[in-house]
Amino acid sequence: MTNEPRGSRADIEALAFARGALTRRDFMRRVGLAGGSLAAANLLAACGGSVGGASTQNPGSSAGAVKYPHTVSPDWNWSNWTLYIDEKNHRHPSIDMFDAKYKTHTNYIEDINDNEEFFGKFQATLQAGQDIGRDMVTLTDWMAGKWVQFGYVEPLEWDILPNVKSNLLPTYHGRSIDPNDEFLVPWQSGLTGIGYNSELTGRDLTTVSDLWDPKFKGKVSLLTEMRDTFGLVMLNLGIDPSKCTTADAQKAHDAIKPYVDNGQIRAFYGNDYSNHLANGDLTAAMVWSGDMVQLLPDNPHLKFVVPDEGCMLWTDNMMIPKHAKNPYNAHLWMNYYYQPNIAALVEDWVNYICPVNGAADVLKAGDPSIGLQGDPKVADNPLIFPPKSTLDKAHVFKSLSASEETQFNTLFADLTGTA
Amino acid sequence: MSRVTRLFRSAPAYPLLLPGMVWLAIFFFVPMYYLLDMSLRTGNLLDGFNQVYRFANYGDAIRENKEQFIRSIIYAASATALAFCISYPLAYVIAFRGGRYKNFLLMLVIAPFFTNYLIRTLAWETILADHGIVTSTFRSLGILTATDKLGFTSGQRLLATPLAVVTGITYNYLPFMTLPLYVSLEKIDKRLLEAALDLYANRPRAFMRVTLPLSLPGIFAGTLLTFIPAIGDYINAYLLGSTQTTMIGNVIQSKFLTFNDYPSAAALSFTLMAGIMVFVIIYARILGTEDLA
Repeated sequence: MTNEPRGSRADIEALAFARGALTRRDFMRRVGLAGGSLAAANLLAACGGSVGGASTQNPGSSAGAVKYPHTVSPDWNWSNWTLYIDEKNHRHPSIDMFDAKYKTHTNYIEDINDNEEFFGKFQATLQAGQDIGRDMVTLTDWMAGKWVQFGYVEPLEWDILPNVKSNLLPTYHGRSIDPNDEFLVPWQSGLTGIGYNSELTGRDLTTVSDLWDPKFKGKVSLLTEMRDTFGLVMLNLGIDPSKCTTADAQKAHDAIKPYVDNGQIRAFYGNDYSNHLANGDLTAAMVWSGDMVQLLPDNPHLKFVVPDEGCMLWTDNMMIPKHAKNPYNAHLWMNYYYQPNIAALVEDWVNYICPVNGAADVLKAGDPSIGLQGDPKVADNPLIFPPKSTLDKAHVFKSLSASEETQFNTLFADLTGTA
Repeated sequence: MSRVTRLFRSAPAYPLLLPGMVWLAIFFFVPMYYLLDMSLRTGNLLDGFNQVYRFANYGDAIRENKEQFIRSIIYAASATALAFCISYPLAYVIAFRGGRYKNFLLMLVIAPFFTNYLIRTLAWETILADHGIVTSTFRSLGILTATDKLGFTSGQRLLATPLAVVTGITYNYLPFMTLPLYVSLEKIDKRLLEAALDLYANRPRAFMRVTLPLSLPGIFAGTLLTFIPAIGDYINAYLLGSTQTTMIGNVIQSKFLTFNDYPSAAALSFTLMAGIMVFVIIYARILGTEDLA
């Protein structure tokens, strides 16, 4: 509680009422853009507008309602995906510095290879209300949303996350999977857009509709991730994926189906579209920005484009599993990572999209105090630090209820041929 | 007296079965029970799956995935036939003409297996690439025009077509066909062939009357070892196929892992297993393996 937010709560409350006419999203965005340091959770709690979900806060009270013992444990466990943090001589400098600073030991476990697989491994334990032996896990939006929905995540104590409050980019506030920002802190993100081989297309592609060009027949692929494929097509149809219904999914399905049937779409791929795109088997494809960071330098003909109608944004989120033994250490890490120089250190190696404001500037100039050399190439790469215009066009798929998920999946399976 | 000795002699045999039986019980029958139990439930991951003994799960699963079932049978059968056509001459040559290179040649058959299954299949992605040598050669020879007409390929390409999937499966399971064939051919007594020739059989006739019948156990084992894993395979269809070539394994995989629809995935698994069992029984009856082995 030593880190009182910059604007006092009364101010924010007054502001909230004064701006009553604004929608929630507008309001949060403006506060975010103005450099306001309060997280959306505080705002909403302050004006008593809790939006359902598994909120543990009483209306009117601040986010400080959640409180963990503030003692650093000698060690703690964090599960993450492989190759997803800075590395130097087989060590992780960011973790080493964290351990030294807080006199703790981080067991950094790279045991997440697949969202479902990881979930399957711990689901029974979580359901039984037991500690899974991890103090922090890093899962992708929709799976993170599922954990939130199921009540498998400890709420955050925002008072000890001042850096997250001030440096989390506004795009990430109030995402539909965690509308009150109660549970999730972004780790890395990626965009879903369109990748194409400009030599083969002979022109620039600008929208999802370009994928249906008969000239590219049999040379187009979509993604196996239902949310990415449906999301982009929905945007193309003018539907907001953060609010979509089953009827909208049906529309997206109907828009894609003829192109599956006539062979326009070659296949639905995971990351494996990379090879096909690089060797010319594919002319155009729905792609993830993270893969394109790797592909573009070696393949000058490849281009990544954010469609005019918008793109999808996915995020891997840091979150604290229910009944974790050392939630304070996890909070310390989140707060530590949200220092722009630490985020820059991680980003220079990881090359996904960084949710931490100011990291690009640090990375450009370098920071000798943490042994980080300036790396303008990465700092200026729009795929790693996308401009605001891109992020404004980025959408997050909504959190689906169980029955919706079944219906969406059934529709999608009909397209991929696994229905 | 003799009964007692017999008892003593046979008694040690039963405890020897124990490790295998325990293994089967824990890792086959118990999971089978849970799979069967799951296949009759309804619900979803969030609310849990409730046991309602809904046998209609089976009907639904089969009806919805008829296409993939049929496709799996056709692909697996084609791959098995193809593997047989390649393996029989190969095994024959190694067994009868291999001489001192026998072991070396056998090692060559297994050599690809030293590489990971996934890597091998991914290699085929590269081999069959649209702009690769194989595809362009086939294209300029007009072979692709012919296969396009037959529906084996489409759009003048190999990758993402049924042909690629069947080829991939054939390649990946080839040693399962070759090795049993080799074993059965290798143990054929050459004097029987000499006898046949002495009795004025010509070579083709000797082959048909002696070699082929004596290699039947190998054919039986080889086809089963190829067909059974092939019908449930989904990696080849995923990596080398398209939306038009999905097999039943792809459906089960996506239902279990992506859609978390455990009951219908379990029902499909069970149906597949039952289907294979029936097939094996019929096949064994026709070939009459009891007399052969």
